[in-house]
Amino acid sequence: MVRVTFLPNNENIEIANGDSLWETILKAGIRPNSICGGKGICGRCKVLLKEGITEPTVQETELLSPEEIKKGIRLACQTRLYNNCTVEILPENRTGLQDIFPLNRVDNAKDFKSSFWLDANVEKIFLTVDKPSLLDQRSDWGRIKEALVRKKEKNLNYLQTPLPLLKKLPVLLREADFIVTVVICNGKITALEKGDTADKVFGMAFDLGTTTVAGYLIDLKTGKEVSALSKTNSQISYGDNIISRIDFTQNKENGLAILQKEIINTINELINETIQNTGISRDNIYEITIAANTCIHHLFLGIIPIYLASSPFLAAFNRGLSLKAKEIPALYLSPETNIYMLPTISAFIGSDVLAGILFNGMNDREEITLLIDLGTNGEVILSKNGELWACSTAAGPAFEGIGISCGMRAVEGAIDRVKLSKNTINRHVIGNGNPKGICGSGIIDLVSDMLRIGLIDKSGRLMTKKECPSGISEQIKNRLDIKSGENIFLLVKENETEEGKEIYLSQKDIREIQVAKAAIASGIKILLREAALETKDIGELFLAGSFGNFINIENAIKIDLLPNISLKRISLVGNAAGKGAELALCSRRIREIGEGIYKDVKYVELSTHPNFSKEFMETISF
Amino acid sequence: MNNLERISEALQKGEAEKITELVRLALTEQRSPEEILDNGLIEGMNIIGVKFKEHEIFLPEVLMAARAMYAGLDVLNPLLAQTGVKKIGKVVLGTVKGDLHDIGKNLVKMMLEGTGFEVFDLGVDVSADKFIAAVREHQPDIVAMSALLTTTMVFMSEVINSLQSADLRKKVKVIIGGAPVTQHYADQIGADCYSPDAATAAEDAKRLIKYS
Ligand code: B12
Ligand code: FES
Repeated sequence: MVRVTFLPNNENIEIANGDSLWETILKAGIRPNSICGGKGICGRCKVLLKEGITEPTVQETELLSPEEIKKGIRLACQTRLYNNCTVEILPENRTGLQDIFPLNRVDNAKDFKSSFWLDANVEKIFLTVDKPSLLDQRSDWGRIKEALVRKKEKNLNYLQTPLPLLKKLPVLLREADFIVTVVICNGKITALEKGDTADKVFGMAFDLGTTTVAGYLIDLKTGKEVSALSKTNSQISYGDNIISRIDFTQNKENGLAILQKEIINTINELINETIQNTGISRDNIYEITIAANTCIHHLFLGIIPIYLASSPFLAAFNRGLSLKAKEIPALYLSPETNIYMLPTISAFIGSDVLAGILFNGMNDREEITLLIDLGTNGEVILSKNGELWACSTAAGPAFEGIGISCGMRAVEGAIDRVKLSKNTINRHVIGNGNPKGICGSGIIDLVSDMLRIGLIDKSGRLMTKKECPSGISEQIKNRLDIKSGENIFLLVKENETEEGKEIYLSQKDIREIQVAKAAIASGIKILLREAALETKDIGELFLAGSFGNFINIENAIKIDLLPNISLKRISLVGNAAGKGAELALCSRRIREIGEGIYKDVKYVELSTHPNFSKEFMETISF
Repeated sequence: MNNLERISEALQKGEAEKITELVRLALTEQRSPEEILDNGLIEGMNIIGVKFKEHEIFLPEVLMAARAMYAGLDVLNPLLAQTGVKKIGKVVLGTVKGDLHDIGKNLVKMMLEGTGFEVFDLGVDVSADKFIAAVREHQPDIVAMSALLTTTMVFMSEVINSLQSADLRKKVKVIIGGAPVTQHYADQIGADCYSPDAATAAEDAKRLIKYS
């Protein structure tokens, strides 16, 4: 037995001799950073050993600096414990966004009214049932049905009754003194409630992303959004990209079950928090809808995702799926709650994208529209007169600040806006404190301005002090420097930063940005070409995903990340996937449309596309 | 500046047409094809390689330079063949099974060719069997494998095992690369070499066959 003590809380855990620290940490409920999912490749799962410092492994000597090793910093996934030890996991090495975050709420009822008609799959009907007597010996069920017919004035013979409900019926009806509310979902009576509860009819819509999971509570009587929360997908400690997660299900015993449990846990936490915040009862959530990328969709259902990622890239199924909460292990909803999974399009284009198409009504727009979801895996959808094309382009996480010298996610301490001119430099830091690093939107601003004033040339080369174009002030010019033999642009001097380390952009960072933006831009170009269209034909461009909300669009166009069209034609649509899932929750008609179009979206496979490399080379310069 | 230096310079600028002209001109100056190759084209590619490694230039510039190099080689190759000048070595190159990323691999190919290697490019999604068949057919000095996915890099080890069981492992050096690959991984699966970028790959390849 080995005892591990976690700082700062002094929590203890006992593990077997030789157990991995990474697994111990996960067991303790702490979420370390990871890109590779514990393979010793990414070097992000750093921990500080205070006692019981282990010998560094080969991976550790490769991925950690000598100073770090001396200090006792180790990689959790590479450390096996044979002696009692004390471990500190520094905040920056935990995955950010641990907590549940409120999302900006929109008033659906207002926003969506024009584009759909409220037509929920759940209906509640309040009934005053005739009391029985010797003169009226109809069965309990018979009199409920009669009351229903009376109320709805239509024949409801098709309504079936599940046995669990019939079992409760006689007692419940009498306890309620024959005043009840029936719940009808999917054309079946699914519940019977005492008294008049007809105004308490809720559903939740979820968007399950690789990084973030969002959950929205909707009042199904009005279509109004009551609550909107998001939370980091707790699968993230098993790799921050889908490939690493798929890897995990393949190479780890119980890997699939572990990842399924993690996503369900995340959903449960969102449900619990929603219920607590709003005071509504779990039993009044009658249906949930789920949009997700295909990998997370499979993981949620417990379907092995490995065939998604290897050629010829196939999903287990694409169509929409209705199931009951009780079919998903340990999902904290009442067992009969209906779950509707929106259809997916392909292995790399999930129901989140379909939801985005539905939300933006791309299926029946006459105009040519383009939907871009900027993420680690960028997705691009094009519509022309109801015809749809889609591709997925793996840009990598550079715009999330990963793989960039001083990069970080858009959390507190990140420089998210930069304004650079020949004489001045201004920056904005999230939370307004001292900066710790720079996030994607800040990088885009900086690169765009450096291009404009000539500190970076079209090929992406960073100027040296000597090559600095004339007209640039000394103040700015002196920021062109050399660090470890590489040209850099110094953004913040070390004495102005939170951690006393200077913040800069290196030549290599610029190359990473070029690769990422070229991957997205090539995807867009190829899709346009498939449809025999050009950039100028784009009538409206929807920019989805949280990243899209934060970037300066003009700058994103300047660095050729987004197509060069008038700003007026670009709309920020935020979490279109979540909104699409809400629509599907509120409207059966929307579901039908989704079921009708998922098969018809033409998926363009880029990895075998003859023009990809050519487009990539053409879009990689600025 | 002599014409060989001009060739090197034109190559670095990616001026394919100018190269063709300059190579022809150099030939009329009674320079041997070998000299033009070594001190003109290869010299230019070397400089490109160093600049690429140091992030000073990027993919399009390397591509342009390689195009110029191939234009020069088109003129020289028939003459080199006539005079019986051999390539410095042979490489069988491919992206492993399940992986379709080839931009990095193609760059490695250009740099290897620009260093004087003959490269047999098997393309992408190359199975162990295909690697083995190509090794049997071309008898290369080096087998070079690329992988960009953490899920596919494991196939590198499969290829090495197949080489072993086919009794070919001792006949070739194995060099691997691609974004997720590390030196440690190379050691783990028993590859002879890991190179982080295309220019280093060419240098390492030369070192592996003890050519200098
Ligand atoms: C372009 C790209 C694509 C293109 C590929 C087009 C093509 N014909 O190659 C497209 C869009 C089709 C694509 C598809 C996919 N991709 Co992709 N892709 C990239 C991207 C953006 C750039 C890769 C690249 O070409 N870089 C430029 C070249 C020059 O660099 P390089 O390949 O590293 O090569 C250099 C060195 O590594 C070395 N080297 C390379 N090979 C060799 C070989 C030898 C022998 C040696 C010595 C050296 C060496 O030399 C090269 C030059 O110096 C990366 C992200 C990134 N920023 O790296 C993702 C990335 C590699 N892709 C990724 C993924 C997930 C995919 C997909 C599964 C997803 C999808 N949406 O479809 C598919 C898989 C298809 C398949 N089965 O292969 C992930 C991999 C994650 C992981 N854990 O493995 C990455 C890292 C992005 C990410 N983080 O999500 N991708
Ligand atoms: S190195 Fe430990 S999780 Fe990647």
